[in-house]
Amino acid sequence: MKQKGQAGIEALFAIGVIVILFIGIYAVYNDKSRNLLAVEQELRQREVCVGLANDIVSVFTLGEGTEKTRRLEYNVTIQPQQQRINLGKSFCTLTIGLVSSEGPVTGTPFNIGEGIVKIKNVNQSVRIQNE
Amino acid sequence: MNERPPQSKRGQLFSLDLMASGLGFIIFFIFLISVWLVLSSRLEEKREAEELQLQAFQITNMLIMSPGVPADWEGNPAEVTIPGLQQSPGRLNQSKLDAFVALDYNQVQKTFNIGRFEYQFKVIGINGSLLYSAGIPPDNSSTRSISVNRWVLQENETQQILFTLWSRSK
Repeated sequence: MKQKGQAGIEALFAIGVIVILFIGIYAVYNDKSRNLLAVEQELRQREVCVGLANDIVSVFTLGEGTEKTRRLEYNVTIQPQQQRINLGKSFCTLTIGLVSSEGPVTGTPFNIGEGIVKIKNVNQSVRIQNE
Repeated sequence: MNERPPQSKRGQLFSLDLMASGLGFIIFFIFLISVWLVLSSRLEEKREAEELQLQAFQITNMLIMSPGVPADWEGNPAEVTIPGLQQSPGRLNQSKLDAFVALDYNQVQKTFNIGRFEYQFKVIGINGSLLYSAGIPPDNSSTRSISVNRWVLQENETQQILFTLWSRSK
């Protein structure tokens, strides 16, 4: 009787250790899984951001009157002064700062909503607006 | 007949097998975490390399395909908004080229928003001779560099434009 009781306690201890181990592993898995989803979304946002930056610079480089449309999957904030595009938690840089949403370039940050956007070279600056 | 004492049953649950498999599993798990960390750091490096590449291509194209802003910026280089060297498609303007080579290094970095990186601009003749050079060449502290090469006509001679963007170790 006495020996049976000891084996039971040891079994409980072993199971306890295994459960604690699995809880630890699950916590790490859960953390990495969330990280992976965040990285995946950031990469997707960055792809959109880099694509938009590339379009802006191409439209500028190709000269007066060049026009291009593009579908944006996210809302973006363009900071002409900082030559930067912010998109959710992601961002990318622009090699030019001559960007505005309407009228002359002022350097003031502006937002562009998701959907179709028109990018146009007007007076050697780039104008970007929702269609 | 000798019977073994019943106390030998006590240690059976904590067998070597259980401990070995537990240890093996923990080592495998640590290995997986290490792989994750290595992949994360490679992703970060790849991101920086892509940025470097994209910026180098954009700047080279802008220099060659645009006259710059204002169009006569070479008259007053201190007030340049965006430097460009184009005279006509495929041809460079000599005055703009002279003005660009003489531009302040930090001013060019600021204009193109490449303060995190270093750059070097070179114009090489058809026979390989160096005709113009500006900026800083990659040195021992360089961790990554991208060079973009374009052929242009300048003063009726074919010349090679080489724009190198590189990053220093932090």
